[in-house]
Amino acid sequence: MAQVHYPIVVVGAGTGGIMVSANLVRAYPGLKGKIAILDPVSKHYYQPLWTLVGGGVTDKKASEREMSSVIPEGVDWIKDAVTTFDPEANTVSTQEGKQISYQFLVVAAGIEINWDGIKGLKEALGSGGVCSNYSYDYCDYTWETIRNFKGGTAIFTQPSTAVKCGGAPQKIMYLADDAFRKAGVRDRSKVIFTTALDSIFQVPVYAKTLEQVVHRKQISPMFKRNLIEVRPDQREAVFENLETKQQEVLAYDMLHVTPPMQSPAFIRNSPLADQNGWVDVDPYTLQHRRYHNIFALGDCANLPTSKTGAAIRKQAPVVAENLVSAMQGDVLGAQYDGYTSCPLVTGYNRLVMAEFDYNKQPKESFPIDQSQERFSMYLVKKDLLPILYWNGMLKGLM
Amino acid sequence: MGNNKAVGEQPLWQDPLADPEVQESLTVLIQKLPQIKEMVLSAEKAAVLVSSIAQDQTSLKQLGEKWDRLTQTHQINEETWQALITLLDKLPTLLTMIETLEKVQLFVQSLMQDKSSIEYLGESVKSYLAPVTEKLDLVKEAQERAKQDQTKVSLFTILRWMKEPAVQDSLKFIHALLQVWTENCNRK
Repeated sequence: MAQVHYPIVVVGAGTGGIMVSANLVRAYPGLKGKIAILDPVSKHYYQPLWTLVGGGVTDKKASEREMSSVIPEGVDWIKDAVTTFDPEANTVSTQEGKQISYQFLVVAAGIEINWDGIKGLKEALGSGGVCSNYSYDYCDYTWETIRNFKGGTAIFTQPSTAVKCGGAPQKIMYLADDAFRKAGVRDRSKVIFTTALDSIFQVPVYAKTLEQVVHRKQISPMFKRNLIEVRPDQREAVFENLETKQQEVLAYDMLHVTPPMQSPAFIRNSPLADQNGWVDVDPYTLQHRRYHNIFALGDCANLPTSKTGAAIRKQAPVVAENLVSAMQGDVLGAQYDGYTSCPLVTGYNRLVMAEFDYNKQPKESFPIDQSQERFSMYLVKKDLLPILYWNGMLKGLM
Repeated sequence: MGNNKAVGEQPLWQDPLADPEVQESLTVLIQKLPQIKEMVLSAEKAAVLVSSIAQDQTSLKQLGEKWDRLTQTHQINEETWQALITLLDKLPTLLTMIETLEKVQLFVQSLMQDKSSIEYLGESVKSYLAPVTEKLDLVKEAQERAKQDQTKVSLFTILRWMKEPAVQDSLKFIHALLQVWTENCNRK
């Protein structure tokens, strides 16, 4: 087995991994050449754009870049996948048979989509009106489905598991509703939002606005419903009522599915995981609770906040600063307060910019009431955030 | 009196070398001897240098004159020293500002080199301008047609135009606008 050593090893070259690496080499140039980032994929995606791709606003190619173009200068990219962690020996093993030892480890491996978690979904996806924005391959099929919708029942689902960007399941629904009205088919359509949760949104101040949006758009919300099966031949979706445990079958003409998600297998089966499979870290310092030379951030960490890129924007500098403090034997001074943001698209040219912390208290960036639908915030989401992502966040500048 | 030690048993103070703490200190001291030697030699060199400078009256005089000239041409006075201290006090804030400016500069630099982002922005701007440019195109086309149209416009032609829905809508709008305008003027 080939053995390699790096003082700092970062698992995952998604938003979290790239941001931490970029923050480290920018603030501490002496760490150049001492950081390895592991990821087997050759493309990097700006996934928040997929909602707008599904809504026919943006080309999906704008969300994709070569991985090599986003790896920070001075950081070595090992194009390989981690298979196991051995935190006692400070090593990780890879798919290609490498054993990489480290002094400090950052885990930013993201979240795994469990397409098999819903019976019949994998086979149905991408045809017959069954679509999902949660995949680069299929997000443009969502727009094709919306564009060709001639009326009937359109169902949008949200599962019972944690998902990346908790607002995305309903954003595409609002865009679809607008598109149906523009095409003149809304009056012969029924739009249903089925969610395993018991409210439209977890933060009351934003939930209030969204309830008004749902009411205005005449959308039928069905709470505590979890999609368990898709029957493409009959065009039926089977739901479990989480309160009564009864099964309910709904006929559909369009079905947008937010699939169930889970911690990646190589994490949930490792010593780093908590009982739910996520990396077990302190919610404020982001340091592992048992292995103090390990840090984690992003979707794979067991942080009690919404899993978004905006959350990672605030987590990455905390991990970088605390990791260096740990290297120098200092007290960990940086703290993450649970900040996250969800730009809730409520239609073409309208958006509620939700920003809040661990306590579900608004933590807004702009000097305006962000709980209202605004065109300006839509512009921020569509035009400003992608630019800030590629040129600011991934460069460790914000 | 006061010494109840058994015969043959030596109190520790009588043989300090038997004290493990002393032994450990000695070991550390011996290990550090090369460093201590270097330090002593450096200190000696520094002392010789200081002594030599102090005796070099010519150099000291030149230095003093240079300082005097500098203070004369640059007006270094108490105010300058106070400013320097204030500046030192503000350094943490200045550092934050400089870091922010540096980030902005790096961001702009990155954006300027990022063709995909510039293209993306360009497309967005185009999409926002599309309704306006479409209207401008219509005006342009109408101008072209008007230029090429050689037919005479008679009263009957105008009467025929009156039946056009677009003309009817425009006239109705003008009528309504005049009504609102008059009502508004009357209220004042």
